[in-house]
Amino acid sequence: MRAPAIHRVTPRCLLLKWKSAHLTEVSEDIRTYSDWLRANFSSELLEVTPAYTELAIYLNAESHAEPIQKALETFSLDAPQNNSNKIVSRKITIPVCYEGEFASDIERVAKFNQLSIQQVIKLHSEATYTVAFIGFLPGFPYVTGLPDALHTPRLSSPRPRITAGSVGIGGNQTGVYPQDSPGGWNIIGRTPIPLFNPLATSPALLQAGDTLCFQPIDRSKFDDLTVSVRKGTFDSKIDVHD
Amino acid sequence: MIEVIHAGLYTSIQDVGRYGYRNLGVPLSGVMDRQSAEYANEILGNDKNKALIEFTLQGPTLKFTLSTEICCTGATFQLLLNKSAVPMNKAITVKPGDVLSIATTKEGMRGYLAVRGGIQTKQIMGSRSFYQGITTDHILKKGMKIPLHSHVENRAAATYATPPKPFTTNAVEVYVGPEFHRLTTNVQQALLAKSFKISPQSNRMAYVLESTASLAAAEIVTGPVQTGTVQLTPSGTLVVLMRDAQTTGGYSRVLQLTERAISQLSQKRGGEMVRFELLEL
Repeated sequence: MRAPAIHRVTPRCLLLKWKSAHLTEVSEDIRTYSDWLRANFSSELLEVTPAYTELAIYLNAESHAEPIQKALETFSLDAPQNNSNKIVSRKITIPVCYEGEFASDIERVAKFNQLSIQQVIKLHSEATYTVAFIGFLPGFPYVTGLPDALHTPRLSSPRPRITAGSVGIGGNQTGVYPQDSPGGWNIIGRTPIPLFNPLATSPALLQAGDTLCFQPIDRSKFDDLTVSVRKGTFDSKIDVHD
Repeated sequence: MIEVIHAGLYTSIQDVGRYGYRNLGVPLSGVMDRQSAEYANEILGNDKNKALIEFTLQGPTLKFTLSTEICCTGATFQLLLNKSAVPMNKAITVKPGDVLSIATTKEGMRGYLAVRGGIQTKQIMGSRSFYQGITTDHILKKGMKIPLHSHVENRAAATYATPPKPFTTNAVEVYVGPEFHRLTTNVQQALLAKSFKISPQSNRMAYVLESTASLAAAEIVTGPVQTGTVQLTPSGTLVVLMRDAQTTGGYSRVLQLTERAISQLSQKRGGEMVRFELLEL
């Protein structure tokens, strides 16, 4: 395990920064630190927020960063080289319809990468992705693992409204818009599955560390799933394994 | 209950915010000027985290259907209760059928209306703060009915809350941000020496500062941001993230406002000037 640099941002915020050549290198370390902080400082923490190579630690008004900073320095020294805690990981499959009006930019992605539309769908849906963290919008996953052959520059000017469920490619990233929002990614499909429901016990479908796959579905399957989501009979496929 | 007769320019229900969900990308939200909101609750003997109504530049007109006590704080709005002037920063008794009209303010941006016991709209993810995509509504609309405690107990004679220090200066207190040290010395000096004009497109999500200086910073690998984070874009715009800001961002985080400075900035309008004053941690 690698130790991060510790920055004090305010009297009640610490930022841990890992040096990393690749975005995926330190995600396990970030999870180890998050779990350790949650287990040991639950009465001081408001919350911890991970990103690709950083972890923000937000403390409540009664706490101060200094003792936690000291404890973190010791933890970094003592931490086992191999992470012995088993991290439970979940695999989530999101059905995506890559057809018609849902895939307004799939041709652009294909052309840019000199592929056929069928090859774009195959590459995008056969890859295995990892959710690095959730940010930007409630439930919006930042995902690593997009095949190089699909990297496509963002649109030169963002669209004012992208429909919730749209699946996009922006540069070397792919993801799903959890709600209607402006956005500059190339839209290649849409999922009928809600990624965020503020009234649910677990509001976000995805969480940092999840393995994510996209499964191609046709328009009639999309419509069937839309109906079962509306009726509340749809159950997301989530496999949990050690 | 409160019935909304006119909604005002941008009026919403806010408490101290929605904590514990930033790892799911959920913004904190909450009152923009925490200092004024806490003062309103304090005057009424409420807990300081009680939900209240936040209004902007042009206030709402509200009809009460029960007897309670209310208090308005924040920017100096003109208040009329059944067409008679009533003061800011004082507890006011209202009766069923009373109509409170909150007009405009000559200076400052935001005002707060606290009610005894707090606004009783439904809590979603631990908070009553309006936010699009989380709560059903993101602003008050004409005809809405806002639930209150129907029974308000008598309370001991008002304890006199200490008025907060007014925001008289244009100096906004900051700490250095995570990417400050990556800036060139010239840019660092300019950030701390110049005054910046607030853009009229500033809102609950961010205050945008127009800079005339030639400032710029490279993009970063997306990392955590928070309320009060000052981002500097490659094209030289300064963006101060406010209460409804996203939880992560890809622009250089050059400065970080103190909690008091966030409240202070939220009372400034488009066109006003601010400068940053560096604090040591």
